Amino acid sequence: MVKPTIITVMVAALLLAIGIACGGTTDEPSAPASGQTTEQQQTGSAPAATEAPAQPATPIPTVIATATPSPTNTPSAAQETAALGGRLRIATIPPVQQLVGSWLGTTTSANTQVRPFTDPLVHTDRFDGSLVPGLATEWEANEDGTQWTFHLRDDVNFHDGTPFTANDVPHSASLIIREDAIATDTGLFRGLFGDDEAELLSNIVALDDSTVQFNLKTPNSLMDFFAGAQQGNLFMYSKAQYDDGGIEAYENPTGVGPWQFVERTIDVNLLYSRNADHYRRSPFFEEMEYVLIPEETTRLAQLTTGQVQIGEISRELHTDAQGQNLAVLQSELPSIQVAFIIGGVYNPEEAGPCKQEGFEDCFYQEGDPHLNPMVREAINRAINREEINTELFGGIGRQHTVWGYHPALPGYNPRWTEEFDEKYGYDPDRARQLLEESGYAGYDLTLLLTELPGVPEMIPMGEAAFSYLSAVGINVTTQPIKWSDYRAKYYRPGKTHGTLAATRGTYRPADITLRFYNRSGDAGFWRTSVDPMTDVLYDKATQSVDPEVKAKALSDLGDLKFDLYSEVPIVWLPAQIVVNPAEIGEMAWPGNINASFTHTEYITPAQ
Amino acid sequence: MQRYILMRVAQSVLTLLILTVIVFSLARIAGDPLDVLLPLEATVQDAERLRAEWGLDRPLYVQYFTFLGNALTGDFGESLRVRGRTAMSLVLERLPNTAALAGVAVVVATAIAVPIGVLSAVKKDTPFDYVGKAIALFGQSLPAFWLGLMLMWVFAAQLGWFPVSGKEQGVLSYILPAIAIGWFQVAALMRLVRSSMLDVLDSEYVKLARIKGVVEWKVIWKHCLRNAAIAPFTYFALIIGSLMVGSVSIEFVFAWPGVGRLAVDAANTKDFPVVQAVVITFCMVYIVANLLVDIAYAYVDPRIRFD
Repeated sequence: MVKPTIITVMVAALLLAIGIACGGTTDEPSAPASGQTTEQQQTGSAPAATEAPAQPATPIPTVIATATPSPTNTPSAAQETAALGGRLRIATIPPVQQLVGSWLGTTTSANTQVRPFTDPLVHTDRFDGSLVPGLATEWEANEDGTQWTFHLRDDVNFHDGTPFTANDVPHSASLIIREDAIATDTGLFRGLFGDDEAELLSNIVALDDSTVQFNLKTPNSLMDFFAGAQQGNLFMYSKAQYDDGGIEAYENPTGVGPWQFVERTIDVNLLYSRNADHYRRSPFFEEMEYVLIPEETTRLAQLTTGQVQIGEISRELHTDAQGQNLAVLQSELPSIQVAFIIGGVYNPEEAGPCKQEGFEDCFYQEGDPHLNPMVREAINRAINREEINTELFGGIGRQHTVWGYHPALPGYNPRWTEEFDEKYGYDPDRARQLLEESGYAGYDLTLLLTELPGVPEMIPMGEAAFSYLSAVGINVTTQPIKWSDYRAKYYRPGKTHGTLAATRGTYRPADITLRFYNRSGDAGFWRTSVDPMTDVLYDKATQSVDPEVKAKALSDLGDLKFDLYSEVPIVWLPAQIVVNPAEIGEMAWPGNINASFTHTEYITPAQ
Repeated sequence: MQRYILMRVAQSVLTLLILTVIVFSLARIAGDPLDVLLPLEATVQDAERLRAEWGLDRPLYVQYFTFLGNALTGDFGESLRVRGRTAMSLVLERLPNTAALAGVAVVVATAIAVPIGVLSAVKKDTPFDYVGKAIALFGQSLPAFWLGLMLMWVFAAQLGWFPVSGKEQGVLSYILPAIAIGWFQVAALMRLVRSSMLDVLDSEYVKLARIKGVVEWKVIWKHCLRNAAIAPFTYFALIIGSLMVGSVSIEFVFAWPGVGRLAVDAANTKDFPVVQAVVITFCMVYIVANLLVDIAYAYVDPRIRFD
């Protein structure tokens, strides 16, 4: 009667407790994939994915006139195709800002949530990351880089049926500089086109329905890069929709992307449906859903149980994922560069009384140990990059020679690769000798332990650096610090003296990284400057649209950084995601776009 | 009685007022939201513009009184993370999900705790009692988020009996998060039932019932439990409040679209209008629940007066 019921409940409770105590852990793979590497488990993308090409596959052009679209990305005309799969479900970390208006957040937020439903002007090749025709079929710049003209397709409609025209371009750009905008590109666009909408609209002009001209207030050689929104916010929004319903209409935005926006539930999901008539590539799946899951273990469990087919899982759980018969895929290009920034290396022209209120010693301070190139070389010599790569990154990292530069990007000097071991190779004895010779043996260094999203290894990497630097006699102390505090208290006010901090950057034209890290004056952020020529070469590179002049200036600047040990480059890393190979066929994405998932329209279901 | 109620209400209002100061201060001490929400590339001018737009450039006391004045009308401002949405609208949107989960957790906790509590009392100092105590020990010592992860891994990922996360699969979606949240309460409730039952089992009317020949199960489940349930019943008001607050970590683990997860996401991004709205809402739930219990006690027990 009742007693058996009670006993049943008790037994159930006990079993639950036993289940908890004895339940599987993430360290116990059910089906070990012996001998398989991440490369071996890739599921189908044709080119090798882990190694970036040694030479520029398609350098980012400053003047382009492309008549033949890349066959991998651009069908010659709109093609109506049938979907092969049902709903593609992707488990991802909730974006910092939840938005469908690209001007309301960072480039990462915009590229994750907006890129599926609407395109930028210029498309990115999914294999080599180069800028290729998209909405714009051709583009060119004038000689001084102050005027860019984009020629647009005339056969593209928004999802609501209204045609996409050149008039949508200035309108979309004007959204980026709205008063409520917090886009990555907001400051940039205000500088290039004007602080208010009227000024911007006078500088970005539709010449006809399929030609738009950008007149820049200052020369810029990267306008096509910004128009590609690889690391920006310039996505196309319908002016007609805005004219009809105002800014509120964009709560349910139409677009020109391969997916149509369906709905979103804050912190829960974003749902898109297939655009069967996309000019570039109609998706292979009927729908796509981003399932927003903050806890990593939960995302892995979703993958394991087949509730999602693709998931954003950090490296430390990849072994567990592979043990569950999941595959780890890598982006076609490197995605992230990792380095240590040596503090206190400022341009002597920034010497003098500190401009920042409340700070007595900022920017250039004569006598700072880090101003001595021998000390910077010693730091570089003390770090064991191979061990860091093997132990912390599982060996997936690739050689990084100069912060900001990659062999596949303009301005790279192959000499750096050839001489790297000789000049930067792990040699603690040489490091000690350099410190002795420089007179800074045993100097005080503060190692700031901080991290940024995407590289959870930054703090362990800092801890490893503590051991390496202590071993060569440097008096190292560590200080855990949030990135926002590092920014506010150290590098923004020019107070990085005596510090070393890990950082990570993305794969992008060197000039952009150089602006943040090496340009002195108000244009820069970190302002690391090993030589006053840095600024001269930077300005030359960024203001020239002649590819040769630009590459030469970048290369010369890189030479300075390499020879004078500007930073402590560690590795280039690919972007990685985990997929269920039983459900996903081909998936290839470049990794140079600031989002975990791009080119989702090319993902195919498994056969 | 009226004076008692008035004083209790006044105390509650004062508590809430102090809480607004604490919540407002903690939200500001946690850091500048611009540090998180602005892109790395943002200029000083961008930061100043947004600081002015969000009212962060005003003196703190002005910000506080503005916050307090608006909060009285339920307006906690616009979310900094989900632009275009007010903080309160996000909270209200999620509140039913959290309340539903808390409700199921109460049912689960009751279903587990009451039979074990009764059995432990009836079989005092026997293996049944020891097992009951062990369960209580487990319940009070296992962190909820760890328990949640283990339940998920065993019963969802390995056995596939329940969905891993979310609430798309109806009733099944509630089971694991409800157990994870309710487990802690199982321990407290079980011990409460056990001690109440022990008191009642020794009473004269129970002996009389047995002398009259009433069957044992009826004595226990009808006569004893009904009387022993008074103390645990009053505890329910507090359980519901703590279950809602306890949902924070579990909603995060199970990606449950409730207020708890909203609070974590908002705290991580320093979206303090939402943090303030969530905390004040949770505090209101607690304060109102306590107030109602106090008033109910005063009606039940005439000896209680505010002296």
